[in-house]
Amino acid sequence: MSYNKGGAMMFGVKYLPIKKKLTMIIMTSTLLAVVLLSSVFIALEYISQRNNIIKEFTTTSKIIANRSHAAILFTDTETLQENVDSLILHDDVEATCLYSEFDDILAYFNKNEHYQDSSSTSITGCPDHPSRNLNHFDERYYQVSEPVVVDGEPLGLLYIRVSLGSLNKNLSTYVVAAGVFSLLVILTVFIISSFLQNYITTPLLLLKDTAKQISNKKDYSLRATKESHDEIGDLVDTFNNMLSTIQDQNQIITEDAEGLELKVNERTKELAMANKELEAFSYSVSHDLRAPLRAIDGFSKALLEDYGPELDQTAHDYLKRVRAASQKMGILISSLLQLSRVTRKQIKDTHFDLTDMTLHVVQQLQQEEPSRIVDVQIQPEMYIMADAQLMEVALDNLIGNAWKYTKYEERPKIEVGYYVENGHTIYFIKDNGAGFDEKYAKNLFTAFQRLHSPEQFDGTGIGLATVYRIMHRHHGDIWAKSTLDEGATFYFTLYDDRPPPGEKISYRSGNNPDLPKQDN
Amino acid sequence: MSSGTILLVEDNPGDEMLALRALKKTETQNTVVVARDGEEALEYVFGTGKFKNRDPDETPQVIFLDIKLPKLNGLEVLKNIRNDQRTSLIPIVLLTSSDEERDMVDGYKLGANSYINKPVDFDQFIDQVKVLGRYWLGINKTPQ
Repeated sequence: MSYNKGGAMMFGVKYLPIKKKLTMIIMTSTLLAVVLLSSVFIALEYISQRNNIIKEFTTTSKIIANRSHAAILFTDTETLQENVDSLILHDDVEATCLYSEFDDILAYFNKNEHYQDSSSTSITGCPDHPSRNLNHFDERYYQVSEPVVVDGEPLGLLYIRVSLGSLNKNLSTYVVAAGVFSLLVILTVFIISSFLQNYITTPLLLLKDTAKQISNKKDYSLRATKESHDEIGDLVDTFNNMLSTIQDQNQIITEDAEGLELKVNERTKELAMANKELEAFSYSVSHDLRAPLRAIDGFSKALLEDYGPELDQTAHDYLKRVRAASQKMGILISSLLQLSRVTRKQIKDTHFDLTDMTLHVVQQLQQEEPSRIVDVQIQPEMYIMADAQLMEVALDNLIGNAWKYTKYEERPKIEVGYYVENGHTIYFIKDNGAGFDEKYAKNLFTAFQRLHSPEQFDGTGIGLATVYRIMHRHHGDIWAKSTLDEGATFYFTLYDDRPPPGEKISYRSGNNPDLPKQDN
Repeated sequence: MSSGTILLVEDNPGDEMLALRALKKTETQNTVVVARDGEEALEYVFGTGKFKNRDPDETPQVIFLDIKLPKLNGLEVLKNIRNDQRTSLIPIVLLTSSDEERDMVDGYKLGANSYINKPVDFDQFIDQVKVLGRYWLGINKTPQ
């Protein structure tokens, strides 16, 4: 409990303002000093007064005892009473008793009839059998006894009881005076220290206010005022220096940011211009590049039709080659335009069924080559959120590739589906076609990079580059795995859904093409 | 097939010859008039300039209009024809090399009846012209 209390108190002091802390320190020290000083003073005064009393009454008792020799010898009661009464006028003496050798009271006076003591039974207030060498102090009385001796022969005993009332009264007065004095001192110290402590707290508070203002307004041009030339003054100087540094750095940062913004604006303008040029270029390509090709193809055809009979087999063959080349060029131009459009097109996300779209793409491929028999498996209900137009271009290319590269297979098979890996949805298109050597895989998605010869498989080398752009425009990714002559699998994700490399894979749903099929 | 005029607006002589050849292959009986730029096309349609002796009330049955043309481009020609009450109902087929989405959208917005992308492959082009002729000169009906 005491620990907790102490802790709470320390906690309280910790959170006091500096002004109060300073006052507390000064007041505590002052109080301690005043109390200590007063106590020492009162104690010394008490001891000195006590010693005076002892000195006074040991002497007095010796004198009276000495004076009483003859009176005791001659039993002169009158003289004895006179001797005893000589002390009656002393305010502090309460009782004086003179005893015979056999403790019979010969003379006495007693101012306090109510005095009660275990040693005294009579109303005389004198003890019945006083001790011979009494010299005793208690809370209220000082008692002293002096034997009356003549030539070594004891004749009687003198007893004096002194009341300490006035001494105690004096002591109380001292204590009260000390209390009043202490209060006055403390009050004065409080007033003076309240005034003096401003020399410490004012510069500190000013510094604090400036710091607060700076932190609120974020105005680093403000400076703290130096009020003193001590450690706090040094602190203010250091603080101001720090502010200057911050201000300078801020200026540099702002200037850099402004410069950067200018640069960004400039670059944006340049980029917009480049984009516009690119657009104009592709527009022109779209319009102008095809017309000559059409002429080459059209007039070759016209030549074949109108002058066919006059041309020999080689000429026919050449013209066919001319036509094939121009048509290929036409496809190349279309692919390039598509690639550039995929980059420029604004993404319009819709929710649709990838299964339906896949089915449609496959149907189109089947229509183009009705004689081909391909086992196509499509996972049902693959709902995705993406730009449908771009996704169709991607599927056209991916499934078109699978269709194309399985053309020499005995039992061509294409599988389209998805699986979920650590919460990421991964779509895949798997075929059992020609595949590719994985060491060239990094070239797969680069435009005009092909891994197969045109004699084997026709193509522009732009399709996968287009797909790559489509996936990245959806903040997704595409990658592929393959073994030469054993088929290829293309995986893609949309919207940053690809698991980070090295993440442990757990298959939760869907059909991962890399795992053996489970029979239900 | 009806006997109305076909207006072919085409600046490229190669494309013009091929289009005519394709039309000939479809064995169309219709007269084909060729305008080689946008201005000429409008002069023909409105019976002005070179064609001031022509009666503009005899509107062509269909206009095959290229987009990229000298002087006035195809889309401007289209706009002018649609803005005039006398000619606003003439079927206009944009027949162009461009497969730009922008051209397609603009064309339809300005009131084109159809947008055809001319293929490089001449065989495909002939097939297309055949379909076009059959549809616009045979099946399709326009108010007189």
